[in-house]
Amino acid sequence: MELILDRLTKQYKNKIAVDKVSLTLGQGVYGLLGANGAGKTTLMRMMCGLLDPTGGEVKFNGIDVSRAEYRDALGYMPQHFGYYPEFTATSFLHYMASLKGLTKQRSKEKTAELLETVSLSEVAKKKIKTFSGGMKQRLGIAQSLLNNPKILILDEPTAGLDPKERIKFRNLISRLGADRIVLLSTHIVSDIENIAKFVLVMKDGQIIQNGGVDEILTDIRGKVFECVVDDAQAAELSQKFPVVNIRAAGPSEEHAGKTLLRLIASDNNPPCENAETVPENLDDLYMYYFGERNE
Amino acid sequence: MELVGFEYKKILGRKSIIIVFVLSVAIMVAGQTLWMLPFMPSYREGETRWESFLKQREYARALSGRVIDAELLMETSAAYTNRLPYFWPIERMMNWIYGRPEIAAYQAENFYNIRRHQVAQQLEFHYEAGHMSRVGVDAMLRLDERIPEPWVFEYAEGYIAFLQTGILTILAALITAVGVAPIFASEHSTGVSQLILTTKHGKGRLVRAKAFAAVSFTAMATLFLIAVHFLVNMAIFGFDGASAPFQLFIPFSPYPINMWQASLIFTVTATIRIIFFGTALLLLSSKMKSAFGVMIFAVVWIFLAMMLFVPVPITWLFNLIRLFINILPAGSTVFLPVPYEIFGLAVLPFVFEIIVAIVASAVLLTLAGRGFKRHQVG
Repeated sequence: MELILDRLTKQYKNKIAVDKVSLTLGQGVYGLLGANGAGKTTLMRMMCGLLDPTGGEVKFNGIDVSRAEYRDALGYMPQHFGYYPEFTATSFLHYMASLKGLTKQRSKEKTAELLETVSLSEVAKKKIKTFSGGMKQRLGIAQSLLNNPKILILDEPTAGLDPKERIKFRNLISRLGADRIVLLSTHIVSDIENIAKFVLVMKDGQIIQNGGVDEILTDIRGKVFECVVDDAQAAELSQKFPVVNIRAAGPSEEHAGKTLLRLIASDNNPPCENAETVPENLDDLYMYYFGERNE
Repeated sequence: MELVGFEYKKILGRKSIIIVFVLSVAIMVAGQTLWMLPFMPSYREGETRWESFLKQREYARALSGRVIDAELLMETSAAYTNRLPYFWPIERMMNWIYGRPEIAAYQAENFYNIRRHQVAQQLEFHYEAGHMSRVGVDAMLRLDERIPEPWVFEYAEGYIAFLQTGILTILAALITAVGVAPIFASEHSTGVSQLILTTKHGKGRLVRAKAFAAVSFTAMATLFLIAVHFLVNMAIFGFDGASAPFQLFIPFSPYPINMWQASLIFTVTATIRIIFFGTALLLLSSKMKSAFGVMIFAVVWIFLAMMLFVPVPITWLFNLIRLFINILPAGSTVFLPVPYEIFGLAVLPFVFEIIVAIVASAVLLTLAGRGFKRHQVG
């Protein structure tokens, strides 16, 4: 099972949204990280055949993205999930199942199973227009799984889910990633940290980092510091370095009255006197590439 | 077929389509029946309109089966002079041919000659206006010669009222616009196209299902309105007159058909031309991101189509306008005595319009499908 992106490019008039991206994805969960406007959605849309690339190609096991066989292997959940307000959850899934080529019997079984999986069984007969944002999001996830896809592309799937649903969803994706390719884009870095086997970091239309979580974190190893400073120093450091976390120590804490900063230095030199290096994580990596200083 | 069912669910699930259907039927029924309400001014003192109508219908029915000859025409003329309302459908026809129902005996004797002369004059007018060549004039005159004479009178007011309609096709076009405009466009505006275009059948079967739903919905909506209009008129006037000559409706018409054939030709022409209108809207729907733009286009087109004839003295332009703009036929405009001329051959207008509408619809459906498949999300 292999999904190959070969020099995939999308250029609008004066902007290159995706710039010669080449990737080979095998089984497993891939987390796509990037700031708004980095080109994640454009890349995913090209991988789903929704947007023609200006250059390059996408193939799954040798099948081009434009073919029905490719779409037969695809499950997609877009960032903004569209629906028919007058349809019930069940009729919507039946409709999507019909479009995905499921038989009526299979459609019924799969619909019931997925509604259960996303905890919507109790509202299966209700019109979608009565659903909350999170419920719609879960319905979107359910429709993407109807055809048991070999390629699952999820654009911000956890937006709008409550913490319990997010954890449930992460577990589901982890299970699904065992025998298919899952590409997941999100701003919630912890989602990727918990379930992604590989991380792709996208910036200005290019994949600037690609590898396992530990592997890509080596870039910032020794550069993540925690400092205990006063307010004036905190403001000064915030202007110089990307800050991952800032917190005032409580009255009962050791450094009462001080500010605790977690920041990323551009090199391995401590940014302040009492700075201590701490183990790096994906939040740090994200801020390292996309964080802004409070200038 | 399952996908077609879902398309129908989407179309009929919209409140707008129910509203426009109900309003259309209400307008049509009201248009045909308001005159019979008690408060409408009556024709005669001491009688309601409905009572007058019933009497006149009885008189006219009594004339059914009589040959239209000098005797009947002179009886009609005398009845008109004496203000007796017995012969009013024949009076109406005499008004067309003589300009008034009071005539002299020699005029009655020459009824068919006078009519033929006026048919020729009418064709000459179209020739001089640049609507057709001598080929067309000759073809129409040959057609006129095939009308059997003498005519036999039948009470055919139900059919005449049915064919006189002007609003029926406008309402059918409006329903079509409301039903068809969102078929592709609403998938884009709601964002569902992002889902359906990534499915196995989203660029194949679904497109065919949508095209089928658009065409079948248009056809059924139009036929439904035609059926309502037909049945309302038949309920009021009666089913008499199916085999009456079409010329009882338009005396100068050169078409050798009866009322039933005319009604059938009108029904087929209207349905297929509105399907053409629907497929054009479907193409726009596949290209536009919202159904609103499609609706604006549809309303402008309907407005232009209502301006029945643009007096253009250039044959090809005149033909283009009636083929592609004046697409909403009334009973009288279907039977315009101006053929289309193709390579020196005169083709009856409704025959040519049906062929062109079918071919154009097929092309438009193909383009609409392609437009949707190639839609770029982003």
